[in-house]
Amino acid sequence: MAEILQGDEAQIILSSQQGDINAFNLLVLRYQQSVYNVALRMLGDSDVAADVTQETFLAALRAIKSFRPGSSFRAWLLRIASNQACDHWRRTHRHVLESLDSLTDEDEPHTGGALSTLIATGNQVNPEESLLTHELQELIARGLQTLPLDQRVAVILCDLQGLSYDEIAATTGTTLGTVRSRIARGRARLRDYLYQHQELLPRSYRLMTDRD
Amino acid sequence: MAQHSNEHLTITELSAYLDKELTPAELALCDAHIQTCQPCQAALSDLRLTSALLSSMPQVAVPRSFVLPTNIAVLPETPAMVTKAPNRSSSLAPLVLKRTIRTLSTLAAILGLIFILAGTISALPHGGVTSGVSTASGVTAPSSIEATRKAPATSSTKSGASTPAQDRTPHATGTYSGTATSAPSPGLTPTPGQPYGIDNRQHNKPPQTPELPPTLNLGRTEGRLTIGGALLLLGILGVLMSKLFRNPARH
Repeated sequence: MAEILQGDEAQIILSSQQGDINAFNLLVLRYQQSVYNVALRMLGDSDVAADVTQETFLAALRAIKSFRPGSSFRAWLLRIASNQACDHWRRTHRHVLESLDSLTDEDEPHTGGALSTLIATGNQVNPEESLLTHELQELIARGLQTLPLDQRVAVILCDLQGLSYDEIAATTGTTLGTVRSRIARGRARLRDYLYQHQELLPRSYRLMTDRD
Repeated sequence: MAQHSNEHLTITELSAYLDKELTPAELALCDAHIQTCQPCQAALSDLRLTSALLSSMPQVAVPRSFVLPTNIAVLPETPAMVTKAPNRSSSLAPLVLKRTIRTLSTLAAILGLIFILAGTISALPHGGVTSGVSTASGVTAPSSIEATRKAPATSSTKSGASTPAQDRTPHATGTYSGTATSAPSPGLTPTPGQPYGIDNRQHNKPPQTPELPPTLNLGRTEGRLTIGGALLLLGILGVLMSKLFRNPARH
């Protein structure tokens, strides 16, 4: 399916813009995983993420005629998805203001490299290759929830969805400088979150830090 | 941006360095600094690991298919949903306008009710003009009429009394009731040549403000009733309109 879509995406989008639901559903099949995962990492709840995913595709169908051929359909769709997820978050977390700035000074870059020893220095875990433990996944997922919305969107699109800074700027409607800053601050905040929750990490990781 | 290689790099520079999203000039500066700065190397290492951990988060399989039913009714296009992020304030504008209209309409209706109430009370056999005015004293506008009645020839008193009323009524009632509430203000300036006596029912009462027809004179019972009724009508109309023009893009 993906290979078929790759070459024909422009044609499929054109058909969708002319009201062909079946064509649009090919796009749904192609992108539903990305949309669902963005919603899931943004909101942290699978049921809510499913609802937001469905709302995203309904909204995309209604707005499909406004899509400009030649631009990235994925970025356009993820923009709708992140907007929907942000709207949902604001509706349900109205009382939780995004003023968690007192967590740490994100611009302080020199924390001594302790995270490297915290996570793994041996061969047990190489994040690039092996699967993260369930506990670590949970911890990172919860850490994402603590980020301010704009940083959360930027980090998810960059590190989890692999979008370039240019694509993220297009997706979020911001400048490259803003994207750069949001990603950096989001990562720094998440790094500090992992520091602060060492006790939640699996025993092997904690032993590493205890030795320090 | 670090000005020279002796300054530590910021977290933004380190993060962009990690993603190879620096300009060539920035890259050269960062490269030179990192090679000689151990703290920056450690900070970069932490960021790299954090980014790697995030990238290693598995893609979760979708719990169900999100394919849309083929018979789905395509609603009218709502481009606002796509342009929401950059133009959030403009997409909120209709909502704010709607709320403002609704608030103003409600205020106009309340003001109208107060006028009607004041007029009704003063029309009672035992209730005098003073009771009617005191009932509506919270609205400020009738107090200016009272001042006018007490000293109809003193222009300084009139202007002083009319200022708060003119200041407040446009805020309270807005554009809908602007014409209705501004009606008393001509009565504050004496215009002797103005024709009088549209309604002859009031001939038995001594005219106190002969400049206005009784139906527009807030000092008179029927004036309060008329203006109150008009305000109430405007308020109801405004509330109805704000409900009718509901933004179809919202869901």
